[in-house]
Amino acid sequence: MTARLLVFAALLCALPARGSDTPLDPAVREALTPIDAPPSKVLVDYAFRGSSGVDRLISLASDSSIDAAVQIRAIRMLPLYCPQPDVGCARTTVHDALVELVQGYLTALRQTPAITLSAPDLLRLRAAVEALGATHSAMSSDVDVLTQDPRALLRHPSRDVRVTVVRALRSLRSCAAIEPLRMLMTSETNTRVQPAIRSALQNLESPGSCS
Amino acid sequence: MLRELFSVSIVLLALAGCGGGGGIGDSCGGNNDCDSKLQCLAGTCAARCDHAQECGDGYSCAEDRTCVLAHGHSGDICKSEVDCEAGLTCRINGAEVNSDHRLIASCAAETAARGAGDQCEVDTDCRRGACELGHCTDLCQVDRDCPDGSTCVTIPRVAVYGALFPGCLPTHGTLTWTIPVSSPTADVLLPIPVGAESAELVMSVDDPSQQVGAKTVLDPCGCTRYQAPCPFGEPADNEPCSDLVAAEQYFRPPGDDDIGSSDGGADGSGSNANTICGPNSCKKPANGTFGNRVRHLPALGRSVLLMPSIPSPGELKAPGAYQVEVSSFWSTGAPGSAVPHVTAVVRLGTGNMLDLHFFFLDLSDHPCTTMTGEISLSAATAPTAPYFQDTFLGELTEVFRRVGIALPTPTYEDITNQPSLDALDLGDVGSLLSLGKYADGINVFFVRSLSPLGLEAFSPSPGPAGLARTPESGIVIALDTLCYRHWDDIARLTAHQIARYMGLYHNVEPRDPRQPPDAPLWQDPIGDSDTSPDNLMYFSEHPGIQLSGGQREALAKSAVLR
Repeated sequence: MTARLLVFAALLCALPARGSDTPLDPAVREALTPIDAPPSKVLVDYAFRGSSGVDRLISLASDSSIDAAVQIRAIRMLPLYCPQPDVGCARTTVHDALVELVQGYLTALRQTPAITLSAPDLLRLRAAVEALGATHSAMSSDVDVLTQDPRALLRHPSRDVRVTVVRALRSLRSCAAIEPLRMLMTSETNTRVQPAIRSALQNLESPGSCS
Repeated sequence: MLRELFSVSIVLLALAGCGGGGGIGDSCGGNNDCDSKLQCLAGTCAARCDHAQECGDGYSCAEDRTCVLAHGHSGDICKSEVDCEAGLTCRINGAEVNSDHRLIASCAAETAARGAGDQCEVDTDCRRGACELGHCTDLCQVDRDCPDGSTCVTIPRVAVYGALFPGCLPTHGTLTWTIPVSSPTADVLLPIPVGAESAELVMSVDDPSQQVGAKTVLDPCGCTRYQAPCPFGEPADNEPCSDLVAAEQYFRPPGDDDIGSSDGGADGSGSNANTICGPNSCKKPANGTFGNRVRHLPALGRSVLLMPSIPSPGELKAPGAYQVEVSSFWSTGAPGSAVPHVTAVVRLGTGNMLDLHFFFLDLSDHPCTTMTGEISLSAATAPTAPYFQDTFLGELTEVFRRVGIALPTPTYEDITNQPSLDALDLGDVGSLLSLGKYADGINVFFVRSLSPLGLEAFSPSPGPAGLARTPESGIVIALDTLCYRHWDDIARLTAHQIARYMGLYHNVEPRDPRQPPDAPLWQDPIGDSDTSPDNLMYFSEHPGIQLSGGQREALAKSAVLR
């Protein structure tokens, strides 16, 4: 696992600023980049021509050498492959892949604190965080992933990252997110982020909304 | 009336010079006493008329451009407002029609209510007793009977199930009005006058968990133009409803033998007895299935029925009342319990100017500022920023110039008091679009990002053209796309969304694996649209900006243009 994270971190450091020229099946590209809507699972599976959609998607989601538009959509549509998307998909292949993806970015940030993620990489990170939230796993360990190193995400210089994390904490449906959100509410000074925290707390503190 | 005439005379006196005969303002006993370019009106030489309105109440403007005193007394049959003497109006009697299949009217006293062109809800709101298409309407025979900027056209009268009469309507522009509905499922009549290029019904329900839309559309002859796909409509061919069956019904275009108008000889004139329906008015395709001429799907909370979807000859050319069954639906497709709100918008004449209104959410510290010259894009910076003006707006202007649509100088505004909408979740898009305050043109909102991340833009399809402050009054562009794309890509993306708002569909949809392998691709039913990725309306990210002639024609009919 650690070795894979290191590889991932190494890859991350070498990310191009824009999508590279790695050949991608045009049918897969088209299925993943609809212009008006999120990608459709039926059409993406069809574009993969019989191979396991979720495995191919995880592979694309981890491949920073492909066009960012494709990779971000691949990351973000992973929760659609949860066996029961509305119920939550803790400890499934999709969930674990997303946790690994987020941890990969966090490890990269920790190991080379001097580097600043490029704009596309920030977007990839946000897509992974948002997708993890969309698994509705209700797992406190997922909350830990997003909050254990506050400097990495909850105090990230980009307010877009902070808002994404707050919304993901809400979407996870884990009551373990309430405390870090309360703490964040006392420290967050950006008035554009504060409403997201308030909304997340309001949602999680309402009866039956988290476990 | 005398005061009106006096005012007209004074103005004409000031404007015109003296001729060989009597000049403007000179006393006269007849037209021969005045210059040949003038007329004798109420004992004074005055300019000749172009419209009856210039002559005053109780006069018509004759073909020789002279004002002629009306002699219609109360109770006399009339054909035009100008047939009745001052103080009287030409009012439709009821449902009786003459040999030309036009409603019969007679002179009657005006009431102290709203004048011609004013908005109205019922006939009694109007001084002259006719409220049609949400506006008080005068009867007429020729364009001269109507005010400047208006035309005498054939109008269906909703109160008598679409029977026709000639009335004055604006030559160009849009007419918007609400249609009262009192039950969850109801038939409403959408009057289509001569000169209408497009018409739409914007339907909404207060319960956002229910869907709303049209179930059927019948044309003025009672021929079916649209049947909602299952589960909203009946499953076709005795098949149980499935996603694929619903999609097949939605995408099924009319057959080649079924595209023409179902009317009995509409020619678009205001005097012809058009929309005469006979036993063979409704063309039925030989194979028994029915192809929808209108693309429409009921949707959660709100939907738009736009006609025509396919700009083919005959569409909307026959005046008459289209009967639309409007309904709310539960998620199963069963009739719902919410009472729909219905607003109608009719576009008269075509347009070629598209007003864009740009709104900027708070974009400070945006991660993609390398594409904005390291400055925050806002209403203050966009009007002078080269990447915005030259690249983005330049490309957008070029896309629409190619189809004959000009983009005048846009408006720029910031929205800084909505922090929760800066990074927009797709579920909240209605809250943002409700801030779209311009009814003309299109409201374009630039947000930081759109979630699910990766989604680059959103547009209702079609949008409620001509209506402001609805949850669909605009389009959204996510600027995190700039982290991996350029401004010319954003321009093409924006053009695509604008075209969807205006009523265009994808030129082709991706093949659904559930379709039989030999089934045709789901295409735009516009005849000359191809399936090329070079088309602006291609379903996935491609750099194409081409539009076919039919697509151009469909855009030109949109009520967002002026």
